[in-house]
Formats: sequence, structure tokens, C-alpha cells
Amino acid sequence: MPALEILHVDDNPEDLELTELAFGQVDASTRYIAKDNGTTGLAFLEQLAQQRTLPPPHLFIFDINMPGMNGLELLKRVKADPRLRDIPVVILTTSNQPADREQTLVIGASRYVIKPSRFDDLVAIARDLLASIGGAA
Amino acid sequence: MSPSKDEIASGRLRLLDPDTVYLSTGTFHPEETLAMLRDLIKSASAAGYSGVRTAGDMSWIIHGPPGSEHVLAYESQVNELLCEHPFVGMCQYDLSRCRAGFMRDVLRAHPIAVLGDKVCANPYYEPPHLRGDGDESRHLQWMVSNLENSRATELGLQELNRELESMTYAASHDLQEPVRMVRMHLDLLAREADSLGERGGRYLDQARRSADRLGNLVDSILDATSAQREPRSEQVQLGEVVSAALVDLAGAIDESAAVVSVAPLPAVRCDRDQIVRVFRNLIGNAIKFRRGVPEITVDCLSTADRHLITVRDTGIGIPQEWLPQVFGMFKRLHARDAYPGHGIGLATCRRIVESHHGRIWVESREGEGSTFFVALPR
Repeated sequence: MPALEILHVDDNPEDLELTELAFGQVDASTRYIAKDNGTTGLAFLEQLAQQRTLPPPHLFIFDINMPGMNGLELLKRVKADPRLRDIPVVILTTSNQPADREQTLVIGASRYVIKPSRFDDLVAIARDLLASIGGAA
Repeated sequence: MSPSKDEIASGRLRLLDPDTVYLSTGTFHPEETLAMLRDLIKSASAAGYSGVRTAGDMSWIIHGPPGSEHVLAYESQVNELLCEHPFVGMCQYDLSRCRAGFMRDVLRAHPIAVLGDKVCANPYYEPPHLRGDGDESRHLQWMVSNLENSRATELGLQELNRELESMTYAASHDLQEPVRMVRMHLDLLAREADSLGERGGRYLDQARRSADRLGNLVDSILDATSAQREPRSEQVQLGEVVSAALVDLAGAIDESAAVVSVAPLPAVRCDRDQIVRVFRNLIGNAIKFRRGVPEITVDCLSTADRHLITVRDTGIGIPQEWLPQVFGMFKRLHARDAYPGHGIGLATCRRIVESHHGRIWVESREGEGSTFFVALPR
């Protein structure tokens, strides 16, 4: 089976680094692409869609509270684009506001995950997410 | 010599007999007493003092000597004297020995009241120009403006309270992120523990313990401040709420091998997230304060007007004398190293339950266990 590709957008570089490490521990073949804001994340996906040569990532992870284009806006844009709307979206955030959870799930996010405080928990989340898209369990 | 004797000798303190001050002729003449006070102020000022303070024992009034009907007029004039001179006067009345109607009028004549050892601004004080047969419409206007002022003060305090609450929320929310990063990186460092040596490993352990404590503290403050918002009203299956709380507690349940039995629970109109918090705290406490393997039972008794949910445990229980305090903020009954925690959880529970117009209480026997009761209106 080909390597799974994950796109992760978060304005906190430490989060990106830790998440990449966690995915790498579960499956070293995972292709992990990090972007530090919503605009470049969306541009990356749109470019892929335009080229039609490469498949879109298997999973798109992003935070809600980000400067510039926030996660809610990013989610709306992705779900409104017929070329992108089938990519499973996972919200990975510190926000435990019920409104954020409900709103993102209604718009079409597949999962809503609170950022953990333990590295082992982050590894468990990565394992769970990879399993959900048919990767290493 | 005692200080007061010193003071008397130097002239700073003077003790005068009430009969001399108020009843020198056997009859109370306000103008005589006022003249004496004016002289007192004048001579004190001439002697270089910055002001005069008096404390007047008004017990003489109880016997109703001639002229005592002028006392209220006198009090008004003393107030004017207070305004014009560096002069503070305290009149001492015995509430239990004076006629209620008279004391009511006395209270209306004093801007500040001292009750026991508490000084309070007197909302019933009526400035001299309003008393007596003054203009009724002016009096009414004054009362209305008093009402407006106290309402404005109340609104100001509410606003201040809201600001403080949102500041607490923002502060604990912003602290979460760096604390999370510290904990994650310490976890990563722990994976390299072999290269740290024995001493380095010990330092790392201590850092992780402190970071965990800090993280828990920040979480519980955030929890407590989130509990301050108005609860939402949604139809919620309580059984699902308890399951969500158990998921959050999975680690502690595993570790303690706790047995949690949950009876069938009804649907309730409440704020789901807040009520999850309540059960997470109650069940979490039942696990934390255990005696052997924790056995916890969640049950519910519904009547026409309320659901009474119980969380019963077989833990260490709470001594009778501590029961009244357990729901207080930052009340910890145990040493920090005996049981972890910050004394925020049960205070948060009470806050949430009360904002749902419910009630929370506990019954407990030390050494046998506790039962927490949460009554939510139907």
C-alpha cells in the first residue's frame, strides 16, 4: 500500500514538529506536509487539484484559532470546493468550546480532537487517525 | 503610665462627664452643647492640633431628661459642624435600650454607621435639608437619585466582576498552550533519560511532576471559569453525560481498577459540557479518595419536580466537621502530597449546579464513604 500523506496546518511550529514526530513513530513511511497558515495550506491543496497529476492528501488536519484565515473559514472553503470536499478533515485544537465542536462537525469536519498534553496521547491520536484512513494500526 | 494617661496629661485626650456636656443645667439645650464643641475645636486648633475627634456616649437619653426631644435637631446641627470643621464625631447609642422609632430617626441623621466592628455607609441617612417638614418633591427626588446611584454601583460591580472573570479565563487559556508544550517536550526528554544520568533523571522527574501539577491547575481554573458562563439549555441523556465523564477518567479508572455502576438515567434539560464537568469531578474525587478498590454507584431518583442524582462511593469519607467546607473554593482537606488537587473541583460543581437552579450536597461517614447528591429541576 502506498505511503499515506497528511497535510497539517497550524500556526504553532512546535505543534507541527511534535505531530510529525508522533505520526513518524506510528508509521515511518507517512508523508507529512506542514503549513503554518490557512492561506498557504489552501493554496497547496488548490495547486494539487489544478495539476490533477498528484492525488490529494489522505487527511487534512488543522487548528481553529489561527491568525489570518482561521480554521472555520478554511473548513468552509475546503468543503465548498468540489475538488477538495472529500478529503477527510480533522480539527486538532485546544478549543474545548462546544460551539467550535458543533460548528465544525456541522460544516463537515470528520473528527474534532483536543490537543493533548502528553506526547504518548499524541502518538495514540496519530495511530487512531492513520487507522481511520486505512493505514498502520 | 498607660498611654491614655500620657494622652490625658498632654491634653491630647479629654474625658468629659456626659452630664457636663449634655445636661449642665439639668436640661438638654442643643445650643449649649454645640457651643462647647465649637470652643473645643477652636482651642484644639489654637493648640496646634490638626482636628478633633469625639465619641459621645448617648446613654443619658434613655432616661428622657428634659430637653431630650431636641436630640434629633441637635444631631443635624452636629452634622453641619462636621462639614465645616476638621471634626469627626461618633455618637454611641445602645440599640437594645432605645426606642425603635427614636433609633430609626437617629439612624436617618447619621451618614455613617458603626455596627459592632463594621463601619458602613448608611443608605438611610437623610441630609439635614431634607429632614423635618422639607419639600416632599425634593425628598422624593433625593430618594430616586439614591436608588439610581445604588443601581449604578451594582452595575459597575457586575461589570468589574465580568471583566475579572474574563481576565481569569483569558489568562488560564493562554497559559494552557505553553504548559502543554513544556509537558510534551519533557515527555520527549524522558525518552532520552538514559543519557541524562541518575541526577539528570531525578531533575527531569521533578520537572515533569511540577509541569503536571501546573497543567492540572491551569485546567481546573479554566474549568472553573468556564462554569461561570450562562448554562445552555439542551435536552441531554444523562447516561451519555456520565459515559463522557468516564471516558475522560479512563486513565484513573484503569489505574485504580475502579468499578463504576451506572443505573439507567433520565434525559435532562441542561448544559451538557458543564454537567459532564460535574460528574467528572464527582467520580474523579470518588476514585481519588478511595479506600482499596473504588466502588462507585451513580443512581437517580426522579420525582414530579426534580431529578435527584446520587454518586455514592466506598472511599475514605469526609469527617463531619469538614462537611460544611467541601464546596468552598480552594478548600483542601488533605495535605498536597497525600492527595493531589487544588480545591477547585467541588466549588466548580456547586457553581454549575446552582446556575442550573439545582442544589448539590454531600452526606458522608469517615472511613465508610460519601454520597454526593445533585438535584436538578425537571
